[in-house]
Amino acid sequence: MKKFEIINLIADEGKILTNGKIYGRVIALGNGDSEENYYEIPEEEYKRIMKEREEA
Amino acid sequence: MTIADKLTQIAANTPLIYDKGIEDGKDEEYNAFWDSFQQNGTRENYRYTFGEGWTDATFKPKYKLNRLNYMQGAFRNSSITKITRDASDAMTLKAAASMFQECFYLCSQLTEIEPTLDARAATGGYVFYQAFYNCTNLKKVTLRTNAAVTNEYYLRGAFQNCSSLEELYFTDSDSVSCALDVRYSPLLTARSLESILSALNKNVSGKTLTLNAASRDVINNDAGASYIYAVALQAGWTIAFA
Repeated sequence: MKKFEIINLIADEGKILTNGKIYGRVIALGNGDSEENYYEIPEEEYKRIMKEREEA
Repeated sequence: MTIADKLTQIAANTPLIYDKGIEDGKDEEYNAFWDSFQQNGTRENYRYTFGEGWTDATFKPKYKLNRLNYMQGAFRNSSITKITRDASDAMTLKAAASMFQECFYLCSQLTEIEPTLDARAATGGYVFYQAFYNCTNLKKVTLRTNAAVTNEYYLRGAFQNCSSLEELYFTDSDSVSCALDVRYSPLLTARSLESILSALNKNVSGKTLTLNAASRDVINNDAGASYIYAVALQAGWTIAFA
């Protein structure tokens, strides 16, 4: 049997978590990933980034 | 039989003969068009072919689209609602440089693609780039991907705005080695999520999967999906719920 702890980062209300590449309200960290890689941005900024990506 | 009876019989058969003539003419026209269009079944390049204006009524290929090469934008902006097995057993790319890039881009009336889109042989970086972009009514599709491709554009934008997608299947486990984003699809079933999570190549790490927030509950409530979810995380895949 293996014991494996799943680390979930949950964004504050009105915020989105990102590492600059992926975005989510909840991020489940893969083995080797670190919460230090993530920061919060306002949801409006997330929407703007997604819109820019769509138009690119 | 009297002459009157014979005339009556001839009159009765005339519409049938007429109708058969019409049908024969249609068949002849159908064969002539598709034989030419599909080069008597040898055509493999359908780049930007079945686009705007094509419908279920007109998309009735004589030869199955099985062995394919360039499929960029092949159905882009068409009004076709379903790609059936009558059209293809499996849409199989045969060359390393072939691709499905933007293949079904803006096909907003498309609901299902029955044949598997088999890109096992394709090694390019943009194979499924925006393949189903804005297929807002697409419910089901099955992919065969190449585990050797790690290019971040391989599946980028493939499922953007696929808000009706319920069933996304990958034929092979450990066959996706690049980022995958299905954030716009809140209706994915547990079996579908299981397939997606199984497809993440456990031999590569540092990759990301983005799912819709609704998929988190589906995973948490399904033993099979939860297990594969944990396996993927342990293998180094980070999973975002947007």
